[in-house]
Parts: sequence; structure tokens; C-alpha cells
Amino acid sequence: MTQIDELLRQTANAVERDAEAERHAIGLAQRALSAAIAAEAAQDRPRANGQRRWGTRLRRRATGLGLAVAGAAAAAIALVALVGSTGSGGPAVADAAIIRHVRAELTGPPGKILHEAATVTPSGGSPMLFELWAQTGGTGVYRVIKYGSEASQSATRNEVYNPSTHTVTVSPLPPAIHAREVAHSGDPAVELKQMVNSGQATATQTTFHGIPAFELRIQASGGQFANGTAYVARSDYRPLEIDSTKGRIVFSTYEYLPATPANDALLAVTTAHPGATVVNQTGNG
Amino acid sequence: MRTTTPSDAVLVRRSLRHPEEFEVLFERHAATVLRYLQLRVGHSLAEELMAETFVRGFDARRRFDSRRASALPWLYGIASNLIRMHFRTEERRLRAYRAAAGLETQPGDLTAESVERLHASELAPAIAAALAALPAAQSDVLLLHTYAELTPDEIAEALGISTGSARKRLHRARRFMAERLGLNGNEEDETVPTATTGALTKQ
Repeated sequence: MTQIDELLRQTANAVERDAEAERHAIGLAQRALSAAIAAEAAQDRPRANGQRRWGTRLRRRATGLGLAVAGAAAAAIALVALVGSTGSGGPAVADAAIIRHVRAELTGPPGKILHEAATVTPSGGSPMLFELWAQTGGTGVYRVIKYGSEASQSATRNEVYNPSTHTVTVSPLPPAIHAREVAHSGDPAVELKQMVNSGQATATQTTFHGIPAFELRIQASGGQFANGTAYVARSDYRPLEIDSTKGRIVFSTYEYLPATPANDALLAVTTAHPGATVVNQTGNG
Repeated sequence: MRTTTPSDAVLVRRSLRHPEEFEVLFERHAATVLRYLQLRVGHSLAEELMAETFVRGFDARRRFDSRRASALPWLYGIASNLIRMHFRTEERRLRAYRAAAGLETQPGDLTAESVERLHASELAPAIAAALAALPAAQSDVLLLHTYAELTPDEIAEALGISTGSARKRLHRARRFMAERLGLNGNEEDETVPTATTGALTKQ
């Protein structure tokens, strides 16, 4: 180091830090960056009805030096796109990254079979066992056990299992009804996704029954979604437990299975119970 | 179980598919980059350039050299380019600082001995004046080295120049500053090639 170097470093060190100015500058920059990220995400989404995508305009603005102001104005939109927050402050940066991982884990890779098992206790209700096998990718193909009943659905038919008679009742499923039901497999983890999407979430590291975990505290902005606390594993972000205003869900299994013939058989009642008697009903049955 | 912290290069690579990952990079380096900008252009413009630095970095992340473990020199390079666009602002700020400090003494009045006795803040106006007169390409190198504490290799990476050029500019900048401040101390650096040592100095 030379004398000039030392002088300049001393001069720099003598400039006092302004914590408030730093927080303000970092906050503005963070919102501007979030806006740019949201703009890119918006560009990746398909256009709706040929409307101009706001992300394109925002991105163009974001390259100018008026960006800090533009970023601040777009902050609310950006955070909605990023983590679904509609609050004024939004989640911390690290929280946003954690939440993105949670959303990814809940979405799952296409071409797999989501298998989850949980004990679900509705608010004011009794505990029940829940188990689900569902094709990923929003195909609406799944088998579920809940309230002591077992049923499955594919693109063309419903199957209901009666364990007392070891019988499977098969009925056709009109395409329109299937399309409507695709998103309603009864997956309890969907509640966590809705909570994350609908409100502000903060994440803190914790241990949940000996498992390194993140605790997500979620305060939804609207009344249609549940508020509460969820725990996800730090290792892979799989849900462990959800405690919300709607009830309590304790997960014992949350995994993605490969689509092998053996695993595909888990998606339908008839193949899951190959020895059962099959009763076919007609279209109006 | 995930126990290791991903490197900057990993974060940048991940952000290509998951843009939100770039926010972790922001969180990691925001305060450091902001401090550099504040020292160079003051709080007000630093606030604006700070946002611009990271948004430009995000937009240009595909060009980040993933062989670099740290993204900090790259971010400093973006910041330096933005500062250069606002060079006149920085120059005005430095000149105004000198004027506000009432600096009328000639820099040449300072001796190496007096410098050692003086507190850096007392020299700040003279240093500001000298920096204001320093060519932009040299001030970038000098201040990346002293404010941001980058090595010549990292400066070269930040500014997209060769390491040799970074060293030469650093040497010239130090010599310029020393002359302006009237310092007679040794401003030679063992990493700077000279007519007599260049051939033997490890580049």
C-alpha cells in the first residue's frame, strides 16, 4: 500500500455513515430490482387477450435513470408478482427467496406423482387421515383418501372404492366437469400456496420436531384466505405443518414419485385395488 | 440438507431460470456497493445509481463470467460505468467540497512529514481537489483499489481491461495524486511494472 492509498482510505473512513440514508437507498434499489424481476416474469407469461404487457413498459422504464422513482411506483405490483404480497412493506429479500422455493416445491416438476399424507383437523372438527396421489402439471388425475372414503379421477372417469364390499364403482366423467375439477384434488398443501400467494409472509429459521425448518408467518391481505403459521423443511422446502384459521394440517409425507408403471397404478382406485369387483355405471349415473 | 451458501456465480446462474435468486445477490452486496457509490458521488446520486447498478446487473446477468466466484467486481464495474456517465457530477461535487472547505493552500505545501501528522479529514479538501483533476479512467482504478479494496486483477475484471492496464493506470493515478498533493513519498508499488522492473515483475 502506498501513501496515497492510505490517505484515500483514511479519507473514506472519515466519511460518516448515514444509516437512514443507506436504508432508504437500499429500499429503493430493492424495489427497483423487484420491479425489474417482475417485469421479466411478466414478459415470460403469455399475453391475455392481446393486451399490452405492463412488464414491457416497466422494463423499458427501468433502464433509465429515473428508475428509482419508477421502481418505487411499481413496487406494489412487483411484489405481488414476486411473492404475492399486497402489503405496504413486503417481505424481506431472503424471505422472498425462501417463499419462491416453497412455491416451487408445492408446484412440483411436471411428469411426476405427488404423494402426500397428512392428518387434517378442520377448525372445530375432528382429525382425519388424508392421503393423495396426484399427477403433477395440473392434469386433474389423482386418487385421494379422505373422510374414510377413497376415490380417484382421471380425464374420463370417476372411481369410488367401497372397502366393506371390496367394490369399485366406475362412472364416466364428462370433459366439462373434469376441466372444472382439475384444480380441486383436495390437496391440503394448496392452502399453504394460497396463503403464500395472498399475503405477506416472513420466514425465520427454526427446528420443527427435530427437523431444521423455516417458520413462515403469513398474514393474508384479504378475508378469503387463511392466515397462520406454516413450517417447511429447510432441506427441500416440503411442508411439515400448517396452522391456520381454517385448521391444522400435519404432514407425514410430501414427496414426488417418478411416473413408473407401479406408481401410475396408485393414481386410480381400480389399479390400486386390482382384486376389487368393478361396477360400471352409465353416463347419467 | 442444504448447509452451504451458494457462490455469487451459482446465484447468477440460478437467476437465469429463477430471477428472484438475484435478490439474494442484492442482499449480499447492496451495502458494499452503496458505500462505494456514496463515497464517489454523494448520498443523493448514489441512491439513484445504486438502483441502476443492480437493475443493469440483473438485465446483463447472462454476460456474467461464471468462472468468477464473486460478483462484486462485476457490480463495481457497472457502478463505475454509471459514475463515469455522471463524471461531471462527481467532479462538481469534489470541487464544491474543496470550495466549501475553504481550501486556498497550495497542495504543494504539504510534505510527507506533515501528512503523517495530519488527520485524513484535514487533508480531505486537498484530496478532493486532486481527485477532481484526475482523469476519469485513472480515478476509477485508484478508487476501486482504495475505496473498494479491489486488487489489480479484480479492477481489470470490473472495468474490462487487462491487468497490466489496471496496474499502469493505478501507478499513474498515484503519481498524479502525489504530485498534486506535493508528496514525495514512495508511490511505487511492487506490482506496477516500470521501465526497469517491468520485465521481471509477475503480471
